[in-house]
Amino acid sequence: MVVRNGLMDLDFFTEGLNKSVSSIQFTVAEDFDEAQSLISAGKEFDTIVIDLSDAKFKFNEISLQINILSQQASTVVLASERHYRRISEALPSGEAGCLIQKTATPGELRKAILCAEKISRLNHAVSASELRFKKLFNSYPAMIFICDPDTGKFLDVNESAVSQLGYSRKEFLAMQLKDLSTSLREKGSLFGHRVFGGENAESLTQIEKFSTKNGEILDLQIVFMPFKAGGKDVDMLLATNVSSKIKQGRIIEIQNQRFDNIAWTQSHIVRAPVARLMALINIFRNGMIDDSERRAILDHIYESAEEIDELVRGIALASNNAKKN
Amino acid sequence: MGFMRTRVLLVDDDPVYAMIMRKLLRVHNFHAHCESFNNGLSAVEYLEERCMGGELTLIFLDLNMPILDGWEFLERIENFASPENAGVIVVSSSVNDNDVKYAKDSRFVVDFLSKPVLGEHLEGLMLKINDRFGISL
Repeated sequence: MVVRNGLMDLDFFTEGLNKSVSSIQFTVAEDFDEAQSLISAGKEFDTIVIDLSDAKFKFNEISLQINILSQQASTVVLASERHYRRISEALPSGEAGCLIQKTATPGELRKAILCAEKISRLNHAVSASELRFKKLFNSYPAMIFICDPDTGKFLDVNESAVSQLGYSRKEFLAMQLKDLSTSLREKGSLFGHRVFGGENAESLTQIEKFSTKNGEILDLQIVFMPFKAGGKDVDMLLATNVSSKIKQGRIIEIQNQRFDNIAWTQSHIVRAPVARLMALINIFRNGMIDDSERRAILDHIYESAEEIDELVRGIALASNNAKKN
Repeated sequence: MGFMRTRVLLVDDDPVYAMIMRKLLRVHNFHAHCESFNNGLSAVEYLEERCMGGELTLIFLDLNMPILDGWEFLERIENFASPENAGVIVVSSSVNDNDVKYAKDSRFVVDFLSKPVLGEHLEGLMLKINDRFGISL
């Protein structure tokens, strides 16, 4: 689209440009309003060429118009010598998208259009990549916290963090890691990189306690990844809720401890009188006792049997009590 | 190795079982006389004064005892005895594999006998003692 602003010698311009780029199709808008109308009507353009070579305009207003149009397509402006610098600075593609109308040749215009298109394509690719990252960031099932390494302040969080911990994004951004993590607070550590191994930490994992908005304490397994965003160091923490896994582990530990206790009781408490009884019967049967010892051995046998009886009753009682509880 | 003397200790808090063990050791010609202790601590105190080179000390050790149990006893004798002249025979009512394994991890333990100890157990034990210390009792 060519925005003439009532200035451009269109015949000369199109003729000259067509010699260089035969495939270019033009749409002409007489002014900014018409250009806006065409865009609003759904027309799409690869490049917008704006002639601003006349000095009779208010720079601020024009700058705003350029910015609006340059968001739609790559933009090349033909400026007067006087305004060249200011307009260049206002364009997203900078000097590459600005030509001095008086001296510009079709070849230079073609070059400027191709350059502006290239920049536009790159900008679109960056925007698409940012969009993909944002999508991934927000749809990632684990919680992601982006924090300032110097203050521990939350710079960004994903939707999973919001839904799992219950704080709004706005509430997160007003807090620091230590406000949510009871364990980090107890350790006296405010920031990711200091907790996770100092300045040289690259990627580490550990479990920390975090509180949700409703006061529940969760065990979060955190993978710490420092990286640079926009030339600035930031801490990225990927957090997975492992509370139920840890709880399950503790239940298994308690059960194992109970089994160990049962095994110990069986071996040392229950089996002791049984083994004694067997040993007494063995020496009795093998004639290893004399007549004077007979009565005492029989008493020991009876006492051992009584001890076993008492233990078995005690176990039955404990089992019944355990079932009741 | 040529030991001048062999000393046998019986460490068990169950006096009836200690009596049975003394009888078994005597009947099976294991040793004419043994010293008895009803907890690990009194046995340690006795041995600290007497465990020396040239004498072989064999200790029949129960595991579950008051004051100082068999496990603690095995740790304490590391401070003053050597497996060259002291051997422990664990005698326990335990049939737990872990107890057997942990006991055999001690460099002093010659064998683990589960109660009730029978004559054939002592015969097997004599062979192990012979292998380890080069003596026949």
